[in-house]
Amino acid sequence: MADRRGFLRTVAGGTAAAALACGDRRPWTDAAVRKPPRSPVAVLPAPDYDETRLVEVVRRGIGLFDLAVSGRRVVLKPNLVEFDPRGVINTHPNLIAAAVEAFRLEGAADVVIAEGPGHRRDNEYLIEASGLGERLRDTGATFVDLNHDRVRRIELATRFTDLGHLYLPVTVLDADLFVSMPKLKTHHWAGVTLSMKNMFGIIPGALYGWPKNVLHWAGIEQSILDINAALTVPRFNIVDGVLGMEGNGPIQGEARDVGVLVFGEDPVAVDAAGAGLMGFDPLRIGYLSQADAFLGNAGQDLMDERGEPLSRFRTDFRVLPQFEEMKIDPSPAEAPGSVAGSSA
Amino acid sequence: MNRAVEQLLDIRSEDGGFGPYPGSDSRTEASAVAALALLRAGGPDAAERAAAAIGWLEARQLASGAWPLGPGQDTPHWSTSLAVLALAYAETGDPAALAVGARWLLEEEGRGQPWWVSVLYRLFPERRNVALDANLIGWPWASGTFSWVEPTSYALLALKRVPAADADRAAARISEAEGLLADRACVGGGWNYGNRTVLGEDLWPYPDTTAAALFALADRADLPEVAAALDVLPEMALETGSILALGMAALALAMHGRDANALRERLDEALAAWESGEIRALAWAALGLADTPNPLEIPVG
Repeated sequence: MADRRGFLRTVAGGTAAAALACGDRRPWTDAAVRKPPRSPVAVLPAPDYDETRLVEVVRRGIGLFDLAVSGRRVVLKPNLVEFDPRGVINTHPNLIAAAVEAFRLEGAADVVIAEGPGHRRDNEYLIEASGLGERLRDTGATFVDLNHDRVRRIELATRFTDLGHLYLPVTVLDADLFVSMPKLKTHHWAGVTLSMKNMFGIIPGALYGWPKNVLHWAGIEQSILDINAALTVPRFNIVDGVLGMEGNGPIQGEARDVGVLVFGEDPVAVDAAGAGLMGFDPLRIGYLSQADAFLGNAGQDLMDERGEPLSRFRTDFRVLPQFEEMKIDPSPAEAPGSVAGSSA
Repeated sequence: MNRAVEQLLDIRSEDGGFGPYPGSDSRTEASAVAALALLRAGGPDAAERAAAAIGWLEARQLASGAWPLGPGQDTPHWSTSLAVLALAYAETGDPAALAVGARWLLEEEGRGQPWWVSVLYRLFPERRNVALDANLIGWPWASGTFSWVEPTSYALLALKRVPAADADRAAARISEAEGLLADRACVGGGWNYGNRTVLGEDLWPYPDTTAAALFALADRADLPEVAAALDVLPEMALETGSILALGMAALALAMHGRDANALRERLDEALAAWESGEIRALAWAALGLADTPNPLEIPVG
């Protein structure tokens, strides 16, 4: 029976074959290509969720990139998909508040928080239970419910799915700077969920349902690629890797201490760095491997590490068995059964 | 009038409808639930109070019988069920409009899984990632997609409240949708968006979707899933504490003859402290607090 990677290859191959049958060679047009020559990524230590310290770390992260922030409207998109008091599902509210403060200190004219939760429709509960409500009141920041935002129709320049177009929220499309703020997590369908998968939350539930069902039918990895390729707004990414989630993520996994924030403008490179932090080989993850061809840089050879070396914080996340083959191959010295890898 | 109704009246749009949030463009869902709440508030002025919202709904019905999401956004049509329920309760509109709405609901179907997937799962059940019967058809959020708990619940309720011309077809769809809701119930009781177990791990229920399913199954007290949901709902709603959860849960408990006073007391407190938020939540809160005839009651016989 075909394994998961085999299935993904088949699906991707099928899409590409369909494109070929239509006379194209690839499931994207030139309009979708945004792969930069090189992609800077910064991994900065953040040992806990102390907000004062986080403001400093976020400001340091912003300062490592040539971002236009002053006088701009910044939209922060955290991951707020579900709430479980026992879990670490969502981007920590202290980090969101710290980012609001940091962008304001950098001169942003306005900073709003925007999300379209994918499972629950009860935003009041999600926002209050997760602790975000209190932080919104403290910071005076506005929350925009992307599930019910006004939308614009965007024709897709990629054809990983057969959707052809997407309705996307104007709050996102009209941002001067759009910041994806995912949690560093494993994902039981895609392997990992980071900056790019976090974009499922911008898809308005009022049009696509709860969960974002149309995307599931269209293919999760294919949808990740189409949505991210459709976003031409200036982007930045801040990954909450203070506490990550391993195992059966993105909802039912367990907390894993990593102690970092990851920054970068290229979401492909940021996700590759995040995947690497969890012990994955980015180019073995279906959507990153595809995105590397046109949207960004998933290969370490085209990534410029700023801040701390990623390898210093690499943590071997526990994954579901079907994703074991996406992990970085252990070096001979670390391989199970070797002298160095033996626990005996 | 309860305080939620007063707040609703303060924030309706100039066009008579209601949007998801104060100041946003009117949409069908919020307008329909708000219309139900304004009507249920009772008193001699009830019809007049709700007239603008009912008028907004009547003017937006599409030729197909469905309702759009809102002006400028024809699809998807999942809020049709709520518009049908509002017009049925108002009893002021054109009966033909209601009939064509019910007919559209009867024709709208969720998407089943391809036959070859069914065969695959029968041969290799261990390959099934989610524990549900994908061959049971209910109603989807968007046409041509999978059936989920909330749209199925509202459509089921609407078909029970507004008999369709094709009674045999309606009976078959009602029966299948009831089976779908029973199949999707969470282990331990209640419903979430529609997945009870993923990759062998049980998922937890939500109060609002549990209440929606209980509205639709108010005439099916014989189902064990109904009893289990009624047992877990009060505590779940109190723990959640949002006006949406408390309002919908209070209404569901009352529909099943259970005591909802504790939830209503908590809801009243929550509303006193509630700042501006989702209008849909406010409307369900108003419905949960009211003690006038229930607009969602399923006719007997």
